[in-house]
Amino acid sequence: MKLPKILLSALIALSLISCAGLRYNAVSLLNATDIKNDALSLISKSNEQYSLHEDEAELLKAKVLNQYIDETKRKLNHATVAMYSELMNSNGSLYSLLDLWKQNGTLSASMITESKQQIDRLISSIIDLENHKQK
Amino acid sequence: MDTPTVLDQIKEQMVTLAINLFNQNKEAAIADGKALLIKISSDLERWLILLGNGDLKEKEFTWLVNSDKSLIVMEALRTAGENESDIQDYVTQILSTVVSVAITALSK
Repeated sequence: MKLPKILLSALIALSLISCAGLRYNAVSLLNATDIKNDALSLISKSNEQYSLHEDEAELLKAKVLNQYIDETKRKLNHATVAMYSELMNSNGSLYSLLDLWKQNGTLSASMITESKQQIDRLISSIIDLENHKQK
Repeated sequence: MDTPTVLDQIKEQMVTLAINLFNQNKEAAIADGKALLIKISSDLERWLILLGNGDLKEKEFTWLVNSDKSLIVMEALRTAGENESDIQDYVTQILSTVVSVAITALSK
């Protein structure tokens, strides 16, 4: 009777481990919040020439990419990974906004106001999801 | 720019697009399209006015419209992620129950 008991316990433990993937991660939340703050602060400066802020823009892109890579390492984290991918690849998201700034040299005052609101909403979705995960 | 007219034109073109792309499910496609337009209409109206006044450039306007599409995608992903998280919590709790019941039963 001892062997089946050990086997059953091991099987159940393995099942539990396989399900323990989608958990809240304080570092992920902190990094997403940092990315949002950095992005909003940078967009506020887009009335100035992009070339003056190119290094900051590249640093922000690197932060997003690094966070994307980190998120891919977390188990069962498909939604967050896809959200970071959206930030990087969509025509209406963070990377494309930085590209538009680069192409135009500067962004208009109205665009700065409107795009900040949109980027805030986009990155807040990632933060909201992380906050919802099991703590 | 007459913003209501532009919005009507967008609605008309959306219906044509739905008919051309989704012949069999065109009614559902039109309903989805109208729901999407309602969702983004307040943003769209404001941006059309800014574009008309010359306060937004054409490429900026295009980015903003695309950003609403991104927001819809992000919202869907957030909901999917929250549901996945809730399901995981539920499964974990069920398995915890299985463990305690099985071990209690085996120890008897």
